[in-house]
Amino acid sequence: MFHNRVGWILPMAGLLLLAGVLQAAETRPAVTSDGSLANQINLDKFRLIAVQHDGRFKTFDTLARSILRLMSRNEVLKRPAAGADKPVTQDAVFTYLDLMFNPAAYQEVRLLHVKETEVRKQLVSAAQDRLDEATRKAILKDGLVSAAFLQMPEVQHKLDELSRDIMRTAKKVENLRNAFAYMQRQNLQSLMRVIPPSRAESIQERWYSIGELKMVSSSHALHAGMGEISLPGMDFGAQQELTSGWMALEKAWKSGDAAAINTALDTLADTLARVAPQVYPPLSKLSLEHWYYKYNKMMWSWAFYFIAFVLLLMGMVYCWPRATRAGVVFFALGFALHTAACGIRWYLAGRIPNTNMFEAVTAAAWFGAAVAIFLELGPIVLRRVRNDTAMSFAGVLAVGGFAVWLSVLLVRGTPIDAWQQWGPVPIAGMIIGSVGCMGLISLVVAGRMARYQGLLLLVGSAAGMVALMCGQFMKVSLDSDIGRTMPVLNDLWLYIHTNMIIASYALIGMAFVTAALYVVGRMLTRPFADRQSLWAWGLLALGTVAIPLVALLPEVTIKMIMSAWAPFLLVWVMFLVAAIARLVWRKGAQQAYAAWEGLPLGMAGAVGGSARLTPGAVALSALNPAAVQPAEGTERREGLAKIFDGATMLLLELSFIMLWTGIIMGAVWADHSWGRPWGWDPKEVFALNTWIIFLILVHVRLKVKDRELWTAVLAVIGTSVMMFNWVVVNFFIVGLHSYA
Amino acid sequence: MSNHDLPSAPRGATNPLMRLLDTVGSIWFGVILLVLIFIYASIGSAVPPIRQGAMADWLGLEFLRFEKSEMEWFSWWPFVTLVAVFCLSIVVVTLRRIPLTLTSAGVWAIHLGIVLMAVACAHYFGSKVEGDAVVFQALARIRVAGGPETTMVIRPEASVVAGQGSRQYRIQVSRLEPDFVPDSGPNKGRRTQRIWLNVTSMDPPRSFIRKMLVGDPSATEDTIAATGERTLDTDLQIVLDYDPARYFYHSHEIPVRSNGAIYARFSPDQDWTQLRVDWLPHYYEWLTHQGELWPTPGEPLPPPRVLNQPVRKPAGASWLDGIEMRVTDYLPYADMEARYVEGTEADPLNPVLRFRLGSDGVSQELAALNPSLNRVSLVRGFTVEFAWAATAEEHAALIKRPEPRIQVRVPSKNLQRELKVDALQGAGPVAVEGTDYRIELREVLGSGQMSVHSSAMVLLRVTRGDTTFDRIVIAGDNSGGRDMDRLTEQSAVADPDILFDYLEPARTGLLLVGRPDSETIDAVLTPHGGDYRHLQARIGEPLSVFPAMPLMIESLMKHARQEVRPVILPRVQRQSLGREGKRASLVRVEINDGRRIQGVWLRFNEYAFPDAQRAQPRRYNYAPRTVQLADGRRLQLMYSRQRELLPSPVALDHFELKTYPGGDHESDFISRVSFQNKDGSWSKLTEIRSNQPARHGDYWYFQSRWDPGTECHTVLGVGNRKGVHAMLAGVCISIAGMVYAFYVKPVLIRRRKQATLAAAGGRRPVPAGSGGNGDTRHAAEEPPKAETLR
Repeated sequence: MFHNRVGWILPMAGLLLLAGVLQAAETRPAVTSDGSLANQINLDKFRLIAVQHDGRFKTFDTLARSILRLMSRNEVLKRPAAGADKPVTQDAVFTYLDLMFNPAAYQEVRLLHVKETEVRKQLVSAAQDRLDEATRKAILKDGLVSAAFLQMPEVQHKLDELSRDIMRTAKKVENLRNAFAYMQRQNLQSLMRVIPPSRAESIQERWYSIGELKMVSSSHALHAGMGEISLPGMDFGAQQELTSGWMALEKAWKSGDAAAINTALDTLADTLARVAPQVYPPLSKLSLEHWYYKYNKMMWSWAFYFIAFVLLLMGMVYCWPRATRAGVVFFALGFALHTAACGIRWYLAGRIPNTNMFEAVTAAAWFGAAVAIFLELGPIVLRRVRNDTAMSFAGVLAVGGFAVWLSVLLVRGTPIDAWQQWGPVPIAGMIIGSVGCMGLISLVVAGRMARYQGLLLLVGSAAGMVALMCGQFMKVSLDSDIGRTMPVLNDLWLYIHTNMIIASYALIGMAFVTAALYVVGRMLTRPFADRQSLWAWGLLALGTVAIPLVALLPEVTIKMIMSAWAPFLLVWVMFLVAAIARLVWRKGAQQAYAAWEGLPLGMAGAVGGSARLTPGAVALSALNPAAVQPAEGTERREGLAKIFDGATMLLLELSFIMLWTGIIMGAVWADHSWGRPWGWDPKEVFALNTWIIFLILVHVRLKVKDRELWTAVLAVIGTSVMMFNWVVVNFFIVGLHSYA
Repeated sequence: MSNHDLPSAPRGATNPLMRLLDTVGSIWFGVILLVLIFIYASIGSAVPPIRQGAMADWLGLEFLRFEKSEMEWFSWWPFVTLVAVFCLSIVVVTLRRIPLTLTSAGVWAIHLGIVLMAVACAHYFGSKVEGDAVVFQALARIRVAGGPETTMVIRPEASVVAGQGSRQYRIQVSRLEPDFVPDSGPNKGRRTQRIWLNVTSMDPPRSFIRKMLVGDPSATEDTIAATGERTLDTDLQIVLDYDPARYFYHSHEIPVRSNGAIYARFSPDQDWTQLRVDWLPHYYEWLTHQGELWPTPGEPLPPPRVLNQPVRKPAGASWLDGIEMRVTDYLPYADMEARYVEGTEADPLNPVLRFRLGSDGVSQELAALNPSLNRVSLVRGFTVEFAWAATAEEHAALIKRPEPRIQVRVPSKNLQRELKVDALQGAGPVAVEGTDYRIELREVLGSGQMSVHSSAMVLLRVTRGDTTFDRIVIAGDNSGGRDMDRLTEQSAVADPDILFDYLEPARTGLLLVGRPDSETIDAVLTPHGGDYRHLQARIGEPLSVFPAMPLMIESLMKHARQEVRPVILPRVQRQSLGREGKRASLVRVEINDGRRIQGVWLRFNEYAFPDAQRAQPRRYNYAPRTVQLADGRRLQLMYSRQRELLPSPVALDHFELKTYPGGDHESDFISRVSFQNKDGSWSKLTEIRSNQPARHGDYWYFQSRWDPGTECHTVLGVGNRKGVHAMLAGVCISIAGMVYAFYVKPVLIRRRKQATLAAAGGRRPVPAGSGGNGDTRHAAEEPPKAETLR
């Protein structure tokens, strides 16, 4: 490809795309044009200072973003500015500091978010005599209220009332009150634990906050002449230096002297890094974290998966090798960026990134893409290497890797479950062993994969695209902040059980794509192969109709069950789009039909507006199906119907085993964590239910004639159950697994 | 597995047993069973109201009130039957229709594994024992001058009186420091529990603080609070010992033992005797004695539902002969509440006012003569108080506009001055005439502004020469004030030569004043930052306090009498039962002693503690009730969970909390425990932490819960694990079978085909799309079609 001039266009396009996406993804607000203080202050250095918060070290920039998000559901603040027509946008770090130094200026700023519409209505109703119409409407629309609003006695009384409704509104009121508390100066100061003890010996030691610094320095001032009063473990000179630095910053800020502010910020940043260098996080890590948050945790790499999906789909439908190759390149770029995102997050968090919903979604998509790569490599390897050689090599990797892992642990006497003490060699052995196992599987199925080359990358890119788009756009539902792990999750099984389950979910999601494509194809071509097909369509219709009826139950809303309904809706949306496309673009419809049946072009034509076999081909095929052969030199390909079905089964077989294994691993973990391997927790039940659907699929396939349709419909149903388990159970049904 | 591997059942079989076996062994039968299992499981998990019993209300059929917890639902006969029939189906189809060959070995393994797992599960859950035990770390054994021993469990606010006659000490736990790190001794450098005890001796009368370190008796020291002098009272011997747990309490989740028990004894010195109750509901009110409840505002009482569960006496409990008990009512969400009812003129004077803020506010009661019940905080800083003026003078004093003043006393100069607060506000430092002091008023806080019972106070900055200090002066406190930097010290003031009193402080809020000879209520309103107002309020008429929130006085009772009755919690105030368990439940027990039948309502207690020593407010109840039998004996009753003796008592030696950097968030919990041997000695320490249980005998012990803040106890999960290894073996076999069936079997079939082709001497044409170069390698890799699962 690279010998061809045209071939250079694609990598250049990729780079341009990357640049554009990075630019668009940057979450720092544009510079405002109002000449305000925010415009003149340089926070680049200060935002990188380390803060000890929530059990880890993070940048002040991260802290400011998360606090602002807790208050107002956004990482930037839009506020009205004097003399400006439009609201100005304020950076989180600036807002944090300004809240500390100028709290009075924010009393009337609508900065606290009320999530629930019903709560908004009740609060507005309670205070309506004291609000103008515009403010009332604004609050109802965007849910943002000011501190002054919350302090109205009527509103406080209403909040007290709502806090008595434990099931429905108490938690929301608590969140709102917490948000209000966050914006108080004392809390903001106490959260700024930026001062490491000078004589700290380990990172476990507690850092001091700006609030504590101020308190001890005012105590020292009050008792002048009584000797040095310093924070325990703190060098008095360093403490004094920090105190003066902070006071200088405060003074400069209050007076609006931008130059003095910039000097004070930089001086403080330098001083903080010097106080206890032995425990201070390296600047490189802090800078990386800032970059990671600034560019939205690299979730924008969905764009690469999207382009890969389009190109691979075109390549598949039109047998267009160049499109396929370009799709592979973009898939590789997307996967590389995705891997980098997961790796960076792992490094910053200090643990595997799969402990909350955001991490589970992105990690699942990564696993799906990785499995797709493995499976696609199988036939490629076999074209170059003998089967026996390849299998032996993979077997040696698998057995050898695990043997290295086990033997090193045994020799050292390290308990298997003391995973934090394994060391690099056993970890490498385990990784190599896993790679070997995946290699074996991909070689075993390589023969089948030859028929679906490129398809798994297609569905892998679809899964990656959807997952990363969710991470990018569903910021409220998927909290992407790096948090700490709950004690019960600090176990080796987190790495194994959780990854196994989410990997199986990714494969189920990928199988859904091929199954959905099959279902849509059948809807458009040959819906009823036999009477049993009616039952399959009936099941699909039942799922489409019955799930929304659940929303009629009390306390259940459409939003709650949307995720389980989505697979059915997607199928119908795809059908609608394809049906319209078929009517509008007849030639494309013919080509698609030919691809579906695996016929060369020319055997299909438009008959009455729909793509069908030409009359001649119909007659021929009725007399002698074998006579419907491609012309000499024309390649006959496998029909898409068979390809989709085969790919669905390939993915489902693997996910079937992984899901069952993952469920059992969860039981093993629960046995030594909670004391019982199985508790009929909703999460456990619906994971088992998902597996039961696929167990039914495996056996139904043995009995029905139209097994491809049944497989596809049951795959859609299984995906729906999986989504119910992953989303509805996680967010709406309380159980032991409510960690998300 | 393919259709080729499934020989058809013999056609035309007329034997009914054969036909039955054909049906049971058919794939469709198995599929139908799977669908039914799916539906049953989905209903039980995703639609809790159905398994709880909501269908009884929807359809009016009482037998549909299942009252099943999750575990009970999945242990119920319909589900067990479905699974059993499914296993039978697997066995039948495997034996009858799948010959055991190399290619079908995978399917055999899958089926065998699933059946083995199901059987092992039945054994596991059939014999499952599961519960928890709360283990406190330390028990103080106290002797005074060699006298009899008194014990006290170390927990926050625990207190006891030890000794006899004039040699008595009152000992109270004032503080627990779980993260104290000693710099010497056996626990040097390790987080260790340090216990602060407030000790007050009667003779001679003195107070001191005894600090003790768990695990290091030599580190005990006494400090005289007033002087800071270090000493050691050798008459008072306190030894910290283990407080082993002897029982564990059954979990609500395991069926059969999920129900409660009533504990009974005649004397507090006796241990409780457990009387099991066969069955108790979970979710619905079973109520026949509606008249004994307070009404729940805004909600009707539930319809009558009869519960008649015998309370079973254990064998050998002859001391309970003649006494029969049964549970007649059950309330899942209820509490015992004290309310006032109007008494008669014969009852003592006890004025109680009931009011409500806003049209949909909650009614509240204020008792004028009870200092802890005479005021309430409505919105932050705004307090409503009810006072009773017995005389006209008292009335005048209560309703008059206050004139807050600071009285300054300089004892050395015998000097006293009064300064008006209004004049001091915003005036900066003001000289105190006749002295070299200057005072500045920094802040004024009204009563109830910091907390509902907080007094009014002012903060003054006092300067004398180069010395400056901040002093808090609390209204009604005659000590002269306390300096801000000495709040935790015994010596309250930096400069004892100047003292302050805060006189006639302004009230923040609403004061309602009642009088014996009037039906109106005087309302004195001083909103924070606002001016004094005096209004007249009448019962039943709204009083404008806030612009959109009128205050309504609902009633005034002059001779109110308090009664305690159960009240069902309003639905909006209920936590989900998944969180609460039975913690909010009440039962009514009817006692028939042969001559009298009486009923008593009992609150749920998570543990049947022998006394209140281990009870902690808002965490562990200790709420027994006493009934007097017809023969005069007093029977104590308590409602709790069923319990069993542990095989060996278990003691907590040390609890360690591991945290993430900064120490604010826990990362692991470690209980180091010891088990008592039969000879009374203690085993070596065993560590139990999250994800790392310990085994002792037939039971496993897990880290279940902990005690945030004071870490004075731990909660260990206790359970057995019979059949776990068989379950694991079953699933491993099934997984191996799946891998074999999906990935090994196709290879075997392919090789068999190759061998067959080679034997036949033919070579199949290479199909299009497989590579195209005619290489046998690729031809051999052509995926087989009919023989595979696909």
